[in-house]
Amino acid sequence: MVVFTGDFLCYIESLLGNNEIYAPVYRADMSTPFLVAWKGREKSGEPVLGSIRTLDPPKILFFPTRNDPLNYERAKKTRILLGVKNCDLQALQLLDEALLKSDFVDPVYREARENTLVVATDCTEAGSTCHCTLQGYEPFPQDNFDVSAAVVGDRLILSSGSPKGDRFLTAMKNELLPQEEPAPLTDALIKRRTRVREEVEELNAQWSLSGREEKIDHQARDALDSCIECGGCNFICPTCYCFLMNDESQGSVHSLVRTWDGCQLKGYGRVAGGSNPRLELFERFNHRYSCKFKYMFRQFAVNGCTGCGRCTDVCPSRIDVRDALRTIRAHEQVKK
Amino acid sequence: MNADTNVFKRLETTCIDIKTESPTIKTFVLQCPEDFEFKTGQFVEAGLMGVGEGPFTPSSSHYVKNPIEISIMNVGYMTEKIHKIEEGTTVTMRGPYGNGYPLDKFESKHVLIVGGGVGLAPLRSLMLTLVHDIEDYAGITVCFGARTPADLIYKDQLDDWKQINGLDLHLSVDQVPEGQEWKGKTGVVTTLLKPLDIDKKNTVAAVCGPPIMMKFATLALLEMGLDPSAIYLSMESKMYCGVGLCRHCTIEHYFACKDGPVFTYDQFENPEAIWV
Repeated sequence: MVVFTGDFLCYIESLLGNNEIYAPVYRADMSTPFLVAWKGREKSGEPVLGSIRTLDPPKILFFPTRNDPLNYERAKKTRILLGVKNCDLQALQLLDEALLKSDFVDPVYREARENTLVVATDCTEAGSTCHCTLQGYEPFPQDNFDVSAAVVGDRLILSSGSPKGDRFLTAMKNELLPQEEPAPLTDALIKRRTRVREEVEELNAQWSLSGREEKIDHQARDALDSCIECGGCNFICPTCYCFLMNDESQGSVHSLVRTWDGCQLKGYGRVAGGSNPRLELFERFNHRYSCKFKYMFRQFAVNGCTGCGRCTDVCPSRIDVRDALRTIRAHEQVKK
Repeated sequence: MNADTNVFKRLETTCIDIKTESPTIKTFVLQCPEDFEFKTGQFVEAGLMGVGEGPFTPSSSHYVKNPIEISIMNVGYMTEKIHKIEEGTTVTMRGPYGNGYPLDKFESKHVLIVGGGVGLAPLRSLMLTLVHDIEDYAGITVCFGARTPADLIYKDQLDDWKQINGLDLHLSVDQVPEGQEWKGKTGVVTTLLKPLDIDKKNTVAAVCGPPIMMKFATLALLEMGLDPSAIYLSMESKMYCGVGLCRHCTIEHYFACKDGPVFTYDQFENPEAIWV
């Protein structure tokens, strides 16, 4: 189904009354789109349907930094999340496996996930730290979306990826006049997708990943020499979902509070009595890389890293995940 | 698992008895609103509303469904608070979680139980459960240790256990400080293992205790000729949720809460690194 992008955005804007809408927009001094609660074009700016993934990962909308699993906010309105890129769709795939499809279901995540329509869009360029292709993914929606909306010129090629997406597009058809999908448009889309993939591949030509089951060397300490242990890589990662739990009391009112936690932080593994399985920084670093490149795949058959590059962007010491992996691999080869 | 059940919802139990086992360990007897089904070796998340919760393995037999007993060491914030409660206090609980001991694999085998310190808690549950069906096993040998005689728990029950036909109980303490009395063996619990006259090829071992004790007990068992797949370790790890969501308890790619807490030694890729 093809519609004019302008018409589509008008339609989305008309849904504001009954829906909460989140969309990527440009902030004045930033080149990476920013995910905001979108209040319409006039108030919040034009949604960015191309470009690259947003600064914040979508997990912030599905798994808030602080939440009470016994008394969480029930959705009052359905949510529409615009402009999710493939790296984040794949990250949601991992979160779905971990929090919805495991033996136990996370109630907060389920509520948010069931209540959100995910509208995926293509990357139209490569960010400097993007490396989805290294992780085996494409820079355009592959799966795990409700609606895919690929921008081509002044139009959008829309397709559905779920029953929720079917319902959305059916309702939209009644309001907008869909157009024929002309062959040149599809050709242009294929060309653009190929071009962006090549851009990402070229950007990452100096790195390679030999497979999902990375051997992580305990002794590869020089990969992390400059780490200042801020935990930013954990919190910005679209697949990190570790949390800690505490009881809180205000008078006789008790609540259970879950807060994001990061395995790079020293207190992460510490048990009552003070012993700590990962007291040393290199042990925590090793744990994170093992988690991303080995454990998560074994647990959920989904990559723990989707190549979004946010951990590299956020790192104050500019530790590049691709460099770190290369260093680790070099150690492994020396050992052999 | 019913998807509509909130896994974080807590059951309210009433603490009906508290036994002081050692200067740092107390056993809490919890009356549940209804029978509490669990498998020996599984754990619960128990605690106090507004204070917190932690993973504890019931120390009572799984044939006793109400009340259940939990032995807790005073070692951190929540356990300090729970050590101060009185009878009648509401103790919250969720679970049971984890795999528990695979009793079907223990059938017709000689079961060797090796424990130290508060690690005796899950092993007491295992022992009492095995004793219930004692004719199903070739024999039960129990080696319990503690730092000092005062630290040895379940002292009031040891004499009764010694009377059980088919159960062989050995005790040791690491040291006997001045002023304490001890008639048994002195030395780490592993010293109890070597002299044992058991059919090693037909033996399974269950080990629980402080990490350092578990490590050396495991090494001693391997040296004795036990197969790594016959050594069952009750692993402890930082745990919050107990249900495989928070990721804190991962040991290699396993969740200690969901895939464990009972693991066989051969399950680990890098066994030297599992001892915390």
